[in-house]
Amino acid sequence: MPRYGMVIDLDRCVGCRACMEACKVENNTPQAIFWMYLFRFEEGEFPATRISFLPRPCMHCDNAPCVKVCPTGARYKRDDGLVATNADACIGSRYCVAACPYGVNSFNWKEPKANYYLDWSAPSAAQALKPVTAGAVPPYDNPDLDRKWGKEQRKIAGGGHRQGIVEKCTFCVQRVEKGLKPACVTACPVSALEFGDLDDPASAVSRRLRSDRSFRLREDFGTEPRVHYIGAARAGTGAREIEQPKGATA
Amino acid sequence: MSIPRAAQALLLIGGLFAVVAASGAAEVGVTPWPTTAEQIRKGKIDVGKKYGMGTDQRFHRIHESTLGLECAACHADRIPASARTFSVPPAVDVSQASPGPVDRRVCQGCHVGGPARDVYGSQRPSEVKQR
Repeated sequence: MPRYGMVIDLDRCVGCRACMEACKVENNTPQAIFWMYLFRFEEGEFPATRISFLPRPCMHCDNAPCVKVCPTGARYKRDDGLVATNADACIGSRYCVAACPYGVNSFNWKEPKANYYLDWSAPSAAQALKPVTAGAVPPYDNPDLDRKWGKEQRKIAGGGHRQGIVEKCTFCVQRVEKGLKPACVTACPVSALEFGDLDDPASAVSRRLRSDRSFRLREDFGTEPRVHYIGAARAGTGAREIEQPKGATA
Repeated sequence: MSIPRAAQALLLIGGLFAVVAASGAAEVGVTPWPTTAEQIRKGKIDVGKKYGMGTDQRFHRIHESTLGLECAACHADRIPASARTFSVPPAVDVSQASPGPVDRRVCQGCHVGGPARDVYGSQRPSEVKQR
């Protein structure tokens, strides 16, 4: 049984956010919900400024607080290490949202749309894309998201993003089950992200972990994340986010 | 981003102190938290069966109504950069999360080998008794 994990090289990351885009297209996540989010930090004062980036997927922790607090067992740890959410068992308590120190969980307050990127039924959209697609409708509506996966046969790949349930990064379980890497890893133009079996010494993730000093986010919480960061280009304590959340004062 | 053990200890003590100070639960005559937590677990204190984060639901009935924590004990207008959990993307309007985001270091005061159930401690999910 593989022990899946991810390595993110901060020295390679250029902050292009292709990972975020790939995640959204693959998983059709609702507006304002980012399973993968890339934080951009700046520090110093002009002209001595420095910018750094931090891609943040779910950490798929070995000692996951979200699994501990879930009242229904909808959030669980798979044998391969993926922390999954059974959409059929989630009651939307949001305990996982409160417990996760990385803020990776999102609650669906509204009934999501089937396709966030384009309403293919709208004549204007079809007209605009006709020259590009020759009239064909690209399969953005990913049927894999509604399928049941794993030995438990549970709806864990997004489950259609139903209203009233919590969702988060799945490491693209629907791709991993097919032997593919998560969409964010595949899309990264500078190979800053790597995914694979942490127990396999020959895997790319293991090799990259051996080659550099690594750290994990908020290890003081004892969550034992499966996402490892390497590289020296990490934000300092005086760093501030370039984009602040709306309404934030800090 | 690991924090030295001494700093961790300070953090825990500080978090716990902040919660106790804000709640007033340390005043004479108030049931100690470990006792209250035990009574909740045994069902002697009714906190409802509605699992959720709403103020009328179990989470806030435990922390606010039963334990007497005030809003400011957990929610803060500002969270220092050193305590950032990289949690809120810019597209999210945090002002809706009234009365402010939660600094999860506060939770550690009780939820790491303390009176409350172990959430951030060494106990594995499989070792934690499920409801």
